[in-house]
Amino acid sequence: MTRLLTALMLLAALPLLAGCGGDGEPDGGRITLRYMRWADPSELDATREALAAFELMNPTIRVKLEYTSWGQYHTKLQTLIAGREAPDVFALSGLWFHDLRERGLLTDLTPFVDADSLVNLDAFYAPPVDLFTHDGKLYGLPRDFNTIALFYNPDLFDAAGVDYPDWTWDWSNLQNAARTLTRDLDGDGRVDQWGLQVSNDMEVSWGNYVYQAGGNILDAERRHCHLADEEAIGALEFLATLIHEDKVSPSPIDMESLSGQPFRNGRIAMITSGSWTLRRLDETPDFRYGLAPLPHGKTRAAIANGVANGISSSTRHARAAWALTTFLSGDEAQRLLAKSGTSIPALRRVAESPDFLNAGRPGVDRGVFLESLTWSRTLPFTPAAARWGELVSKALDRVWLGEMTPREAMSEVAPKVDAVLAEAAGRP
Amino acid sequence: MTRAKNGTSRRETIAALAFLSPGLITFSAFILLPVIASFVLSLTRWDLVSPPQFVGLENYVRLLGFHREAGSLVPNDPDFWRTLGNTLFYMLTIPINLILALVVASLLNGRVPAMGLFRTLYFLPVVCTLVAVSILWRWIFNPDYGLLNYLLGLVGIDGPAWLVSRVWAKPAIMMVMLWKGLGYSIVVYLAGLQTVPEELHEAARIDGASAWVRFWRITFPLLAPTHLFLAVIGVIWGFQTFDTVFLMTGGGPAGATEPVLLYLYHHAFKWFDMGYASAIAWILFLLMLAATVVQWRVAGRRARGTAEDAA
Repeated sequence: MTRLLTALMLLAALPLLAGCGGDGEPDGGRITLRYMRWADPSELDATREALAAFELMNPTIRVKLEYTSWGQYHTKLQTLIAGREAPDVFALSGLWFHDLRERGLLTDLTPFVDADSLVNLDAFYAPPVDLFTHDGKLYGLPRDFNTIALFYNPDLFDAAGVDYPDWTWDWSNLQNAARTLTRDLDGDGRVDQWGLQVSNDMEVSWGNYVYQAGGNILDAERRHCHLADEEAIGALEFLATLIHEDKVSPSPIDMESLSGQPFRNGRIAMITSGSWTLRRLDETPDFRYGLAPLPHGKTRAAIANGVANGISSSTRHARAAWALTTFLSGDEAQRLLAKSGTSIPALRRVAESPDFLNAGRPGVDRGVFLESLTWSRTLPFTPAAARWGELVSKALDRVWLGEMTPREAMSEVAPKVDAVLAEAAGRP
Repeated sequence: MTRAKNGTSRRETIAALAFLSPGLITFSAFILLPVIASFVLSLTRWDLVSPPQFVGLENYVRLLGFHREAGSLVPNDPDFWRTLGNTLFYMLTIPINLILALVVASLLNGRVPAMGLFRTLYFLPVVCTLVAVSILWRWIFNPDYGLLNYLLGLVGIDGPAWLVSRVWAKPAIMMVMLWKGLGYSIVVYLAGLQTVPEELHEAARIDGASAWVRFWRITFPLLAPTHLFLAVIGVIWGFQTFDTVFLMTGGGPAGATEPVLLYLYHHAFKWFDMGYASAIAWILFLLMLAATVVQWRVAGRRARGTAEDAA
């Protein structure tokens, strides 16, 4: 009986034993690194090309690329880490950075930066450096950088006789233009062309307006939510007016009928978005667009964001991982990134070169993104940022649907956000 | 092991265990152990990567408890009750499903022309991929060019923006659930109808009972085990409502369609609070168990007996 049980248990354990070893072991003197990122298929070519160039320069290192969509990325990463299968190098977003850092899953890169004479943090844009720095320690090397700008459709502006947006625009210019650009083209009493899209998205849309109104999302210590303050409420009321009173911005219900790509189809005259939109627009035939800085409210502001590559704290090849990380943030890889037209390189000298500025359609002033850096703000990410972000987003859903005023929704949600922040801060 | 002294029976035991081992091992590894593990985890705080921290019943208190706030009792986790309420609301489809299925099955049980075709048509949604079906229904529900609002427009009704309205999104999803689940119940009822002895109907006919009376006095009561089976299965599946909602609205607008299982999923795989998610899972298990026991009791002995025979 005992022997039988032992045999059975051994049998059951076989798959476990088979799973061990092999991975990451030197194979003929070569080591294998795993690099994971989220990506649209269009972004992968540049990454593959960069990894191939890295392997060519480092014949002893092989890099295996793993990728998922943005929606799946963090679940997959966390599951891999839990299964002790963490990729050696992986892309970090501000949203999840603090959760990973707090749990000790990221390597502190500061000693590497100090020891590496080829890496100079000043060469990068500040937002992606700041986002991944905590208590003076750097946990990710910047890969790309983003700000939000105003995209407009010049053909619709011409048809409506409205001047193109420029840096002098403020909210009232925006509102007036949006009113003129909203049109019922076939006379059936329903709007066919909308002036401006404002969406329930902190980075792309409403967060910018809150900062432009002189408001804040969280306080500087990131302990309290300030969305119920007068300035923030004012900004959200401005957006609610555009949707529900002026009816120049499509409500979520109108958006249902606008499925597809309403901006590219000429059904929305202005959107606010980041550099990831550029390539899709460039690839749309017979479509013209222009870029302008976001209009200013009480003050000028645009949200800046960025992506960095971090190194797993459990990697067995820290030095090779550092080599890969610096390569991906170095001139050659950053130039490939610039040419792919999907993101702004985090390395200033590449972003400010023709490689990025002239990579897209002629006549589109990509420099707008770089200029916006001057007045940019980074989002106040914290541990459990996804959790309070969801609370705010659910509350704003009701504003967007016109069921609650911004004041009602924000005074209800602000204490809940505070509770999440307090709980996250109290965690060991 | 005293009986095992006898050589034959010992060998038989070994043989039996050996034959059972594939089932036993997979059952233990993939069902029993995870079930036990989830209970242990429900007493901890665990984010998948740091070691679990034992917190006793804290998760259950946070989940089920109430506290006093400005003089009134407030649940510690209102979102749990709200999403549980949504799940129970979706279960309103169960009686509708049973009634519709019984009607259709009764019709299909008679002599209908092209009966095979009709049976296939009604069963078709059951075997369709939910993802494809969801996309199709989202088109149907589109407020502007969707088929449903077009049809409503023909009779002069200005249809709502189904999936983005906090009022109409749940009924819209329930329509899809009904459409998808009806075929299964019809097949089960058809099987049940075959077991109703023709002699009883004949005898009743001779006594002058109308079709209506025969249905209510003979067919309906004799289908008791089928009613019970479908109701029990319906409630169990009802607690598991997830995929249709996940695909159609993702729980929106503003959480109006979020069932409790989606709430569990968010805790587990979005916020990585495995302990809390496990606690929700166990409460759901207890609720399902209680619901089944109640149904079992209410159904009466005869229905039970035959349902057991059927199983």
